[in-house]
This record gives sequence, C-alpha cells and structure tokens, in this order.
Amino acid sequence: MARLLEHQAKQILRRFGIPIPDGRVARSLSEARQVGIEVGYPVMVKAQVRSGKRGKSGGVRAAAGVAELEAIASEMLGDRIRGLPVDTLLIEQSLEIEAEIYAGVTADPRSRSPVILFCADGGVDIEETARAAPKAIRRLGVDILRGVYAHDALNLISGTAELTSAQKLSVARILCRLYDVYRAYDCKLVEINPLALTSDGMIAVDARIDIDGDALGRQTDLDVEIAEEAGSRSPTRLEEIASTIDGGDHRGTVHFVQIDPDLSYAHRRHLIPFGFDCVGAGASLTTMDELVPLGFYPVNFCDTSGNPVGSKLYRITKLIFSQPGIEGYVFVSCVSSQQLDNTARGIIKALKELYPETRGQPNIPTVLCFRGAWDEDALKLLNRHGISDGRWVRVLSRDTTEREAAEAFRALHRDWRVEREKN
Amino acid sequence: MNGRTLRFNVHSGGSVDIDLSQCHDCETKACVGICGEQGGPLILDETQGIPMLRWPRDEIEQGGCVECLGCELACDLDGRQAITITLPMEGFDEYLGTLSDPIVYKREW
Repeated sequence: MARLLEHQAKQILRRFGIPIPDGRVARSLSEARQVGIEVGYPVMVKAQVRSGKRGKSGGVRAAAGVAELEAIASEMLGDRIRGLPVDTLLIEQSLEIEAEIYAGVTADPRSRSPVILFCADGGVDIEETARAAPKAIRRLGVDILRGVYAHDALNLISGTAELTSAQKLSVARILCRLYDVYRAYDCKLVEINPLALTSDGMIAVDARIDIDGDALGRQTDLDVEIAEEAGSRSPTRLEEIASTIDGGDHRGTVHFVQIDPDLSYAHRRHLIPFGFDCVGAGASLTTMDELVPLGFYPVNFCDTSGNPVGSKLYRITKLIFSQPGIEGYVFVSCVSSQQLDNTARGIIKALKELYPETRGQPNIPTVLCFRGAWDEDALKLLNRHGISDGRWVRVLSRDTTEREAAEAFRALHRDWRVEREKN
Repeated sequence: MNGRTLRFNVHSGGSVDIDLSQCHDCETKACVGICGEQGGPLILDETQGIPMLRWPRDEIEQGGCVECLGCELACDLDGRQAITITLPMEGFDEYLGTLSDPIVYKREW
C-alpha cells in the first residue's frame, strides 16, 4: 500500500471536481510567508506526514497573521509529529465550518467489492463512531461493472436530517466523484474527513488516499517513494531498498516490512530476534504464531510469493541477513505452485556471497523449510551446494508443519547459544 | 562480447558475465545444460565449444533471461567457476556503511 500525503491526495480530488480549500505547500520559512500572502489570513498550517490524529498531536494549527505563521512554521519544520519528521507544510485558507461529514470509499472484503461510506457525524473521531455507533456509518456496496450513480448516493444519504436537499445533492455528487477517484487510481481507501459544510458549499478539509501497492506500475504519475505498508511511520532505509526489488519487474513479488527495526521490542520482552522470510503471508502468520510463544521474535515480515525469479530471492535474502543483531534466520514456504528450486537458488547464491569462507554455511541458526512445487529439487540443490551440511542449518521438507519448523529452530538456537557461551 | 567475456544484462537490473577463456576446457558446459530447464526460454547455446546467446540482447534484457541463477550455480559446482551474476540493490552498500553494529555475517560467531 502507498499512502499519499494530504496535499497530493487533495490535488487528485481537485482534478475530479471535488472542492478543496485554497492552499499551497511550503518547505521553508520564506515559502510559508509567501503562501500566507497568496492565500490570505487566517490560515491553517498542516504538517505533511503520513499519520492520522495530526490535529491532536500539534500537527494542525491556525495562524491569524504572518507573525503567528512564522512562529508555527519554524516550530513545525524539522520537528516530528507522531514520530514522523516534518519537512513539508500545507498552508490553507481557514474556513468557517458549519458541520462536518465523513465520506469514503474502500474495499469490502466480505462482498469483494468497493463500498461507499457516509457518516453525517464526521470529524476527528470517526474510528470511535465506528466502534460506538456502527449504524451511524452508512454503507453502499458498488457493482464495479455498473458503477455508481447520483441517485444511488442520494438513496444512501436520504433521511439525513442535518442536510438540506441542495446539500444532499452536493454530497451525492462528491460521493460519486470519490468513487471515480477510487477506481481511477487503484485505491484501497479514499477518504474525506471532514467534508465540511460551509457557506461556500461542501469542501474537503482533509483527505486520505491509499493506493494498492501492486498497482503502482500503472500509476506512474504519482510521486510514490515506497509501496510497502509500514503502519503510521515512515519507511526505514532497508524498507526503501527492499521496495526497489520489485520495481518494474512483475515476475513475483517481495514484500518486506521491519516489524522491530532497532530490536527494541524484542529486547524489552526478552525475546530472541531473528530474520524471517516466507512464501505466502498465511504461512508467515502461522509460523510467527508458533515461534513467538517459544521465545522468538521476527524482526521483519517478508512474503516472497507469486513465483518470484531467483534474483529477487537473492536480493531479499541478503537484505534480511543485513539486519544487525538477528540470532537466526527462518525460511518457510507454504504449499503452492511456486517454483521452489528457483527460490532455493536465490537463497544459495546469497548465502555463498555472505559466507564465502564456509561456502554458504551461515554462522547463525538457519531453518529452511521447503514445501510445495519443485521442493525436492530445492532440497537437492541445498544438499549439492553443501548448505544442508552446515552446522547451524536445518533443512526441512514437505512433511513438516509450522510447529515442527519452529521447534527445530528452537533446538538449533539452543545448541548454538550453548556453543557461543562456551567460546 | 568484450574480449573473452560474454556479458548480457537482465531485466531486474544487473548483468551476467561469462569468462569464456574458461569455457573451451570445460567438459560439462553445465550452464548450457541448465539454461531453459527452468520454464523460461533457452538463451544459452553451445557454439564452437563456448556458450553463446541464442537471442538478441534486448530480448534477453526484456525478460528472456528468467534470472533463475541456474547458470552461475551450475558452473560453480560442475563447471569452472566462470560465471558471475551481479545483481545490485540501489543504496544497499551505503546502508551497510551506516551500521554501527556488526552485521551477523561479519561476526565471529
């Protein structure tokens, strides 16, 4: 998933005819002053970071005049909001808001179709509304072959006492355009919160657009640095590098996220950090579920699936091993049609380069569990290249469960630790 | 071909170098044997005792080579270690340079 910054999302909304406040971005104090002059006071100063709840974190503030704008801009630029560095501000006209509405389009996994969301009670705590009063959020499933029409949207918002007929028509038009954005940009989520009711009509005061990471190859006009989902933080350097592995190469995928980049969580919980790679996110989850209760913690998530070429496995294996402090490496494949001999070649080449003195036999506990298509060829390759003979290597085959793989890793790590303590 | 080296680029960014000076005396030609066995097109063929490309370089770079890495590993085991596949990652070496803790594979464990 690739989340756009607010100002990028708003430019897309504007192109689709959804009104947004007059505003510009500023990356320095002098640019901020200039924007203040162009937009006119009072203005809102908004830190451009990929995080919600910016208002509650001091990332959205009002400035009545130039002195206040300078003070806020100099404070925000270079500071961190919710842990994220601020290098860009969006400075917009301040609006007189009469009411706030929530509008969004996302994917409904149950119906496997887009769903339009509307709530007359918009604003900062929409998540709390969803929990406390789920019926307040109205839903309209959309058949993508038919699309959505204004009368569908009007039906969705009918009976909303807070809106006049004219306002309902405006909201219905905006919902249809929001759906158009969702489809045109291969979105996972398009959200306006709040959609403000003002004397000048409906205006999108804040916007969020999340693009499906797998669609970035055709969304080339978007200035997206990285596709991986990393929660509410910016991507790590290693995640940025990992995101280049797929690049324009669609022969299988590599998804890499550092769960515990500095190992602080693992150390705080007295868990043993290890590097991790799976074929299939489901196998990844079940293997994690087996390893964590045994006292281990995966410092990264990685899913290499869709039958990636061997070169992708080579690159990501080198990258996983380059995480300092890991005390092991676990690779587990699910049973799929993925050609595992190619997967094995990628891992073998990486190990041989990382460990030239031992011809690829690693110095940390390493479990390699191959289950699926061409798995026997993979095992033969590991054997022929001498990886299987490594003292700290266990190669497991198709009869192995995730629990058995986890227990094999625990046994190997226990021996390894005893050996380390001896030396 | 540059002198005695056959070089071609691959789709993901990177290159394959075959040191042809080693190939005449290679009895197995393991690289040719494995190429094309992995579901992709056969791109290496033996011509006058050395591996040569069967397709134009641009077609190979557009995905003709499926980057299975089979040629390099087969040559390493059964040939004369004449093949080097270089697959860079932008920014990776710089990242390694920024690490204050030693990487696991550099440690004396």
